[in-house]
Amino acid sequence: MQYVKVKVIKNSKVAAQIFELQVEVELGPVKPGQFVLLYPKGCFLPRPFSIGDYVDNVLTIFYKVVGKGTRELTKLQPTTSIYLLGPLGNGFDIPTHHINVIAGGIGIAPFFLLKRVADDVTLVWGVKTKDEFFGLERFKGWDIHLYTEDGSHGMQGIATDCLNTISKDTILACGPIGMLNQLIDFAISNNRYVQVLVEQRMGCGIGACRGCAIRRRAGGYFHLCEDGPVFDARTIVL
Amino acid sequence: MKRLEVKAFGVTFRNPILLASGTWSPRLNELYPLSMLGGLVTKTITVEPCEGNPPPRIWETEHGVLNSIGLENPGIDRFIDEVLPELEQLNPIIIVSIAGSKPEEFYTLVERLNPTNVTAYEINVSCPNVTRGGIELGKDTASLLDIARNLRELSHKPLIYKLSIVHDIDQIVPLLTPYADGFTLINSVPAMAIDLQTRRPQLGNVTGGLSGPSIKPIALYAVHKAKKLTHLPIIGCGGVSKLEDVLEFITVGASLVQVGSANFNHPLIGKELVEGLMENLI
Repeated sequence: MQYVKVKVIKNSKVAAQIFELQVEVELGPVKPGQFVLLYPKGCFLPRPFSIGDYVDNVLTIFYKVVGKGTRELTKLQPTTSIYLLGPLGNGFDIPTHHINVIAGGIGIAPFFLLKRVADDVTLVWGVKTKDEFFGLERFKGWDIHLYTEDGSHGMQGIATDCLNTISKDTILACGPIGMLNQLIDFAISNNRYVQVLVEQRMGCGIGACRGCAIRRRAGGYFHLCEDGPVFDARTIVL
Repeated sequence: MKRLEVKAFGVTFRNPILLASGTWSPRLNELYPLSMLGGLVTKTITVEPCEGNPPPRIWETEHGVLNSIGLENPGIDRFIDEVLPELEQLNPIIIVSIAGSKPEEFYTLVERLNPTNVTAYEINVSCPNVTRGGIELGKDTASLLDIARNLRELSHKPLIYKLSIVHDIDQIVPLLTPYADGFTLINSVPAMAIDLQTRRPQLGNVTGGLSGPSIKPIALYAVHKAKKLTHLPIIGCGGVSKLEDVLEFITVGASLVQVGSANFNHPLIGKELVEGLMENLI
């Protein structure tokens, strides 16, 4: 883990409300599902982001503009810099056999890095409307199934519509809370190992503040920064 | 370096910069040696493990942070067996923050910790996020005085009482002074935030404690006020995030300062404050 000021290489809009930020940083080995904290100007707390891609000391983060922190990030210009803490958290447990990936909206972000380590993947990606897709060319070689809620591209529906027909292999998923709750129900009722990457407000990122708690199904809490952000869907309550 | 040394509560601190309870973890030592700090105050420990409050537990405000953690901790047994050995490697000065929902729990904690190598106890009677034993205990002066008297008898180590701005400082500080070794002022300030879209609180526990730069003037006021009421050393705490803040607390009479939520905003803050003091005062 390191805390460094990193130089911005690129920060551009790639889809509706979605930006691709590239910074130069030596992170060492990283796993899909791990995250970093970025410290936007004018924000007291840092913001957690999944590692989107990482190759040759270039870290890519895909972020959706949702509030003060991400609005501030859009102002970053190439050659300016921002503080970063990472890599943090435990990534996905990646099986060697075929993998199913289910992503909702910006929940696709952690899977670009997965493309570098896994070939035999079925990707199901759902968005509201076709303007929200981006970077599809990077998944070339995977079996891709796209959904839009308005039917503007691919199949009409939501990503979890695939659950009736999906293979028995491990599922890795990331997306909005409604989608994750459907996956939790699915994992429990079918006793399936579904790994979900969860979001929660975060303070320190290093287990100090205990702020990023989510409910543990067996009682008590997990903490995203220490125990996650990837969890066995059967063990959490959102 | 010796010029930064502070002697307080019979303890020599290498410099006046401490990290506040619940705002740092041993992982910070990966970024800079925590041994360079004046000392470390642990997350508050209770007798039994405490799972803490329902999420969401944290919310960013304009110039600070609102939290409702609820004293989550592993309990005294696991603290002594599993947590403390690691902390003792990080800095020679470990101040253990303790809280209880009834007086006997404070006594148990002190009795359990007396044989360990910890430096001092910070008695947390000012947590805004628990229903029993927190901020309300600090308002119940009769019970508080009773606890303080008994702790004075039981404790082998310095007793530092951490107070809140909602306490009656005029009354409590003189009352506790005969039984205390010092005070920490202030704990986070009771506060809340609302999500206008849902018209619900931003925190799972409805209310929380505000910390960060927005409470610094309140904390300075509390230290200034307490200083006139006691001869005991005071630790200033609340919104310290730059060198000037440290100097302001010292100016109003603090012997030491604690850096809290600024650790979230800039994890190197502890190191930079020590370096800043060295550059400016030596």
